[in-house]
Amino acid sequence: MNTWSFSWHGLVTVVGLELRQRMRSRRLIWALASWFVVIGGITSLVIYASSRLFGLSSVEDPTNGSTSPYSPGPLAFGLIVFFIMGMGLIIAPTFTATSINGDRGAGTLATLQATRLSALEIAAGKLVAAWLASLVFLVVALPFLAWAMVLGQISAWQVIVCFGVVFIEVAVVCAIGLGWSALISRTAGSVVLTYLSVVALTVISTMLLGLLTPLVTEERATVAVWGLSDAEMATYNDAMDEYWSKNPDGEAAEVPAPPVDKCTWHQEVETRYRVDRIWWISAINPFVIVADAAPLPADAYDDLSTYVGRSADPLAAIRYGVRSMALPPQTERDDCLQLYGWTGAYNVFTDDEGNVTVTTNDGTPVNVTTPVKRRPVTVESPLWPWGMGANLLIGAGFGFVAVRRLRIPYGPLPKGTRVA
Amino acid sequence: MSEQSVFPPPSVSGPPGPDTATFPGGIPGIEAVGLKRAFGMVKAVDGITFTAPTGAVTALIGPNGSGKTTLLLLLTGLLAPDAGTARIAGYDVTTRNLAARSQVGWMPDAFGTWDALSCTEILTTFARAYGLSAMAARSRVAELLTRVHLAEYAASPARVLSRGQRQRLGLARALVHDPAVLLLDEPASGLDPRSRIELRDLLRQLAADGKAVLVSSHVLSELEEVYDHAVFLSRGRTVDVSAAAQPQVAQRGWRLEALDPVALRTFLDGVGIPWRPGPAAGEVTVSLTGYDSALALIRAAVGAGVPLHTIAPLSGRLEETYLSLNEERI
Repeated sequence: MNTWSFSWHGLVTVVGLELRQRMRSRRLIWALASWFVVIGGITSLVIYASSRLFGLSSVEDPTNGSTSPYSPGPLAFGLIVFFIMGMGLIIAPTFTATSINGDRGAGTLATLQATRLSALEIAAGKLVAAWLASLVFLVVALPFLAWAMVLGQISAWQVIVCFGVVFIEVAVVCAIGLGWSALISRTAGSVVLTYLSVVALTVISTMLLGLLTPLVTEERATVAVWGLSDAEMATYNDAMDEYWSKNPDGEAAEVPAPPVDKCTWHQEVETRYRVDRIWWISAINPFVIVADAAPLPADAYDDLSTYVGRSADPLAAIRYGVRSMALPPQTERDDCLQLYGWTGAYNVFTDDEGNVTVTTNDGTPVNVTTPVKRRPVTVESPLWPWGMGANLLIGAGFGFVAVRRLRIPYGPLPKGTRVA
Repeated sequence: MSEQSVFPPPSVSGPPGPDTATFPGGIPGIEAVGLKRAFGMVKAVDGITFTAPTGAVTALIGPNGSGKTTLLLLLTGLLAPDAGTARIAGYDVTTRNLAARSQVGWMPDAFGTWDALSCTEILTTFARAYGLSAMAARSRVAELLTRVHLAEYAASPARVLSRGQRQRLGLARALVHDPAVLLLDEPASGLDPRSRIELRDLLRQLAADGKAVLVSSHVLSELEEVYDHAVFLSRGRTVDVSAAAQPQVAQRGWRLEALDPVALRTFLDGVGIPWRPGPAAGEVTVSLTGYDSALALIRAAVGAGVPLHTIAPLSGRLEETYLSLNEERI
């Protein structure tokens, strides 16, 4: 009964066996070579495309040596990190999803179980070997990541963190594959279920967020609105109607000024979507985890919204998006500043945080104020430990299942399972 | 239940070593008492009791589906018995699973190999899995490859081996940790005649080294020359082995051939022994009880002037018993 006993000697024996059996083939060399070419091509295209979007490269200011914020680096780097993460999640299952049921079919598992090796040593050895094999693929991608890092002036710390997260997520997927290969007797079934699990973590979790939104809708929520009273609104509407009837093409200079000084607080009832109650579903998505864990430039922490806008950094954009969803909806709304937009003489911009800027049509800023409080998106408390913790728990659960299924002597066997 | 007094129920918190007190004459390699194991509704093993002593080759014989492979899986410690106990070198396979496993060398019927690994790597992996140090493993593997005549394939991948060579590699794998008990499932299948003779000699040698060897095989003529004891299985149960233990009292078929077939038949009719025409022209077969009867028949025939030149048992003892098991099954 040494199911859970563990020794370094036993682990190394199984890892050595698995690596020799699975890695020593000419096909693997070809797979690695083509992977090198593919990721090289993708990286070149991403860097080229990013440069075209943002000008040719990062611009250095000759007067003080600082670089322009408009650099294609963060965009290229983020896309390459996502690409490597995606490929890692696709490659990892191929090393473990048939690891146990495949060996059982080949008649090699039972002879190994009959030795002094414990079930834990066999399962852990298979997991570590598959993880190391997947890492070979990720390490091949390192030169291209370094290229994007140098070009985009990304800190080495960010590269290390992003790669570390990818390594851990690959280990989680390896463990999921191992668990399915222990649970399902047919290899085709365990492969499908492993890939479905990866899809559940990434795509389905995102879809679920959208599909659950109707369930968290508040039909009759009260909000405080800063705007014109109904009477004042009617007066202003009349004035505008008169103006438009006299100037159908809207070219006359004398537009009635928006009566922003007459704005007051009043209550309104509206429908609100409480995504802040379900946003955490997205935290188990490996892409969200890597985005949230990636360190940002120092100045980005103060104003994430602006940084996302100017850098087009997809990592920061996802981080910002998830954190915006986590904020409770505004209980106050400013309709007053929107009045500027009615006249056709001003441009009104509202960002995600509720900051409103108003300019005239020729670009001159208009000094406006609002009593509605700004809702800042903060990055102070990290989300990724929760997501990664959930992922590690899932991986540990599947690993536990694999060990339990390798435990001998076998009691009652599930239907269709053979010992040897 | 006299068995329970001989084999007391195992105690989990017992002494670390095998329990020698109940066996003054030494611990048997394998002792199974009332073993049962079912898969769903199928009772694969339904009451097997036998002992395989050390220093002897025990033949495990039974038709297909009689529970041989399931019995071996129970003895390797891979399957838990539903009822009954089994001990390997004194260790209960359920309560002292690891200790029992460590004493078993198992050669399964279908031995899968990692086809990307060389013979040396496969054997070294198993030596390491049984806890041998790297140095001990190296010398042990080289020695075993020589012993099973695979030294020239030491660096070859297992996939280039023929079926017979694979069987020999499987045998080396079962021996890698020098186990006290060997469980061999059809070890002779796929072996050429020369390898079979070598296997036979190897089994005898291993028994002489003090190991308990349990061999299941359908190639009964091979077992005939090597076994010391036989365990017969039918429908998951051990069956009465008196027929095999005392073959001389059982009726057996004998083949007689004479230069003058007519004289032979006339003689047999004269002494009142019923005969049937044999498979070849001029041959007859008769049923005799034991070697004494055969000797008496030869004396009488030669004395009567019958030119008898051949008398031989139709089949081996094991084959006779095996066939009687098959009849019982039908």
